Amino acid sequence: MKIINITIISLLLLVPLYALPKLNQPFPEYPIYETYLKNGLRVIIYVDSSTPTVSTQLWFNVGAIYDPPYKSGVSHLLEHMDGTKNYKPREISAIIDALGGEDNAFTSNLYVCYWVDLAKDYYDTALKFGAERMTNLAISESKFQSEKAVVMEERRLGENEPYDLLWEEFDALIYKLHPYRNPVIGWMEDIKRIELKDLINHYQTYYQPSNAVCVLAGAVEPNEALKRVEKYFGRIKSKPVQHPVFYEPEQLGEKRKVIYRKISIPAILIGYHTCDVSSPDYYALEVLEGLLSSGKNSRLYRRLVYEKQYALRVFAWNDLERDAGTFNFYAMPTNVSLVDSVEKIIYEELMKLKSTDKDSITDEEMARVKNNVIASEVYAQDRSRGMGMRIGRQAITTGNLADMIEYPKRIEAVTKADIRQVIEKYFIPKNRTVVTLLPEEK
Amino acid sequence: MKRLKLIIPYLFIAICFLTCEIDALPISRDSLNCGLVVLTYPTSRLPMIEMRWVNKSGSAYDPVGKEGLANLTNKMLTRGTKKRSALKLSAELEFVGAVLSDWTSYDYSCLHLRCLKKDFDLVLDVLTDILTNPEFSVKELERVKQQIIGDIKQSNDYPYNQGWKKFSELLFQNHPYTHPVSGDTQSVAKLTIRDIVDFYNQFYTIDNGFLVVAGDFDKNELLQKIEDKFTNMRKGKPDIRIPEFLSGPYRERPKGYMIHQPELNQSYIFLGFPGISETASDDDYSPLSLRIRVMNFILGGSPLTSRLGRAIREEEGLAYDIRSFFDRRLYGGLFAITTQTSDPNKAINIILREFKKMYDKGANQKELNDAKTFYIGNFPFNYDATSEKIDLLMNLELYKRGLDYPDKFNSYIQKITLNDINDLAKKYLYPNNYLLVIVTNVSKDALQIPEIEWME
Repeated sequence: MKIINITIISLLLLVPLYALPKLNQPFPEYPIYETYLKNGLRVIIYVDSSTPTVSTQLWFNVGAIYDPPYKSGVSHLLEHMDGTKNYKPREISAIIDALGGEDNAFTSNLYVCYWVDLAKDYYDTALKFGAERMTNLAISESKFQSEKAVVMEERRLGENEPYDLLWEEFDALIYKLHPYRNPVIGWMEDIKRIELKDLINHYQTYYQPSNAVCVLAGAVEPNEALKRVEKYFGRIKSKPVQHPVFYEPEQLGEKRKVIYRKISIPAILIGYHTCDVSSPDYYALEVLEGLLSSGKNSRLYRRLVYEKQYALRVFAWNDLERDAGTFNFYAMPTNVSLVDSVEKIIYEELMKLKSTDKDSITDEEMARVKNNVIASEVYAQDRSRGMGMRIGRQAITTGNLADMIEYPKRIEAVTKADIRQVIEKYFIPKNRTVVTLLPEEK
Repeated sequence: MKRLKLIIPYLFIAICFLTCEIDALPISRDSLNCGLVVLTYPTSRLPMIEMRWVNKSGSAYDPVGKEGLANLTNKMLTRGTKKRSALKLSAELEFVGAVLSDWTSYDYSCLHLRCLKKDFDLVLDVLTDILTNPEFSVKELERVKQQIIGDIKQSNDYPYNQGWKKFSELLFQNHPYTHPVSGDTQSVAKLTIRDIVDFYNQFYTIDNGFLVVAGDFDKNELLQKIEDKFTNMRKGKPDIRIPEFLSGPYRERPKGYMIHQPELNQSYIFLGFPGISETASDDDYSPLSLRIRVMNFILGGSPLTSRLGRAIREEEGLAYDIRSFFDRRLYGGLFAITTQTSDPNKAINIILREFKKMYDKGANQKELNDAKTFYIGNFPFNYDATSEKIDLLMNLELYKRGLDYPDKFNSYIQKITLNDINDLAKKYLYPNNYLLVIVTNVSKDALQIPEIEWME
């Protein structure tokens, strides 16, 4: 009888193991393991045994673009909410603090991420709280009102940062229809309009296992980690999530705007509509960004900051998201009289890269940009939280981790002709938006 | 009862944590024959290395009237050597994806390099070239000065920076910490190549700095390479002493200074007084700076869960950010509470209430236990990524903590008692003798702050 009992107990103990989904290692040279739980939760584990910590990250596929109309800021305000059926507001943070951990959350256009970093022996606690947040969030009316007040103070903080306004105005101008035009924190009047029921509705709609990714990065044993994820998240029921679809119509002519603030240094933001992050053009645009503004030998820095000294700083960046994307330039001319010259030189440098004459792209420049990508890939693996963030972001943005792993290879494949082709295709005046920030006239 | 059940497992974890030991870290400190001190932390997971030269010459060493000189000199080092022009220098590094950054603080200046393992020889050559053969060209000087002046102007457009600058200036008075690291637009404009050469000759010597390296290397091989490259660096120690800035009350009653900016929609609040230095000692069993951090953690060190965080943000929704901190430098420091709010009267009164409560009644045992377990559990984050390993080593050397500091850290924390914390609150907090700087859209008359005397 005793033997039978032991066998039964052993079998019972083994059952959860067999019920666990199989972990895949899709890229043999990377210690990344992934699977889906039955309820649709995607689990991705990045193993780095050299670190004494584990970063536990819960990503939801619900950023600011899914805020209800005229209630921009709902996703962000919901991210601020704390307190569940079993824990008072900030009680979870206090427990994480007492374990020496660090926790925070952030919202972007596409996602919300809650992360907890703890010494490696305690990541179980982070998983437990992640599941609690996913299922048992409880918001009282008074807590809702006080946190809304906090967010309004956060919004005011941004309004008082004189250069921040430029970015908000730029997004609102370059996008005509797509909700990328709204600030993630929300417009002040919209924040005021948000009610508790809006948050609850958003939570019930989007905080579903099938709409989330759980990333563990750091000193974990993958099968043990999966067992723990299953323990806390496996029983959560999931509802299907339908995301609205957005688009941005073609721009029919150049858009320009000038804004005035109490500032000393002018600034200019120039953007062109380009493509979705899944487009093959993404990689040529990445190399273009490197050629124009990565390092002191990049075209724009060298000409505008170093040689001419027309600008205090200048940079270009390839800002591609789901549905749409832009390629942007930001410059701070050293004084107001140089704003036009700076803008003109940016266009000149772009056109030089398109040419095939003496100004065209050199082999050395291409090698510099590509070498930088290879080195950056190594540096990026240095911090497990950072690797977790890259993985989570990729999992939400395109869904395909190969886009991240194969990034250096795809960059390596970009040719000078590819760069000329994307300049030809996207960098045309009618596709351009320019916002200038100037000192208030006295 | 349910809540008690929930709390017990965490208390157990927290108590267990207090007994956890930190694994011995593979760190070492070597004095080379050339006189150079090198601290190393080898790791082999990734083929990368980071290296930092720390020169003990921050803005506190700026001569009077030449504010910003330490920062400018450090930046000029990266702008070309006798072998490499500014562009060639950056091109060589950028071609292999290596990154060179420079910065200056109040006490020291840094040159930090990050590279792939295969490029270490090149990077070491660049660093020693920068340190021993700088060119200091007039053309580059004008470029760098224009950049710094532009940065200062832009920085002054931010209300937080305006307030912090004034707060530091009023608090440190005539001490060298009174001016910003970058100097001001007028002082920087006047700096010359002569000033830079003099500063460099005086402070950039093998005896006035040290090197920190972390990453994938064989230590003996690394030290040999460094020894070979640093042999020609000048020796000597500058004969300049920075006066100690003592902690204590700010004047005899609360003093206020207002920067009125009607276009703002919030008030930026800075409230504090002179604090302790990082190396201050009261001959006790553990570093004073560590004990004072634990005390401050309870008051306002943790933005969400500290007393100030709970009172200002969580309960009243008055601000997004509220914190208190002891800014501890080599020769002194300050204590500050900062927040930004559209209701300054209410926020200041709550800050003063919590502040006074900490002074009068101190902390309770649970708060102390939580703070202690936080510091012990959080210590591994000090040596997580390579740059954190570099910071850890730099601080061990700069503040003379000794290589056994990581091993002793847990016991330092464990020994702290509630009496210690409450004594510190009495000794180093001055609820009636503070300086308040406020950048605000409201008038002085609209602010109701007990006993405050406004300065013009």
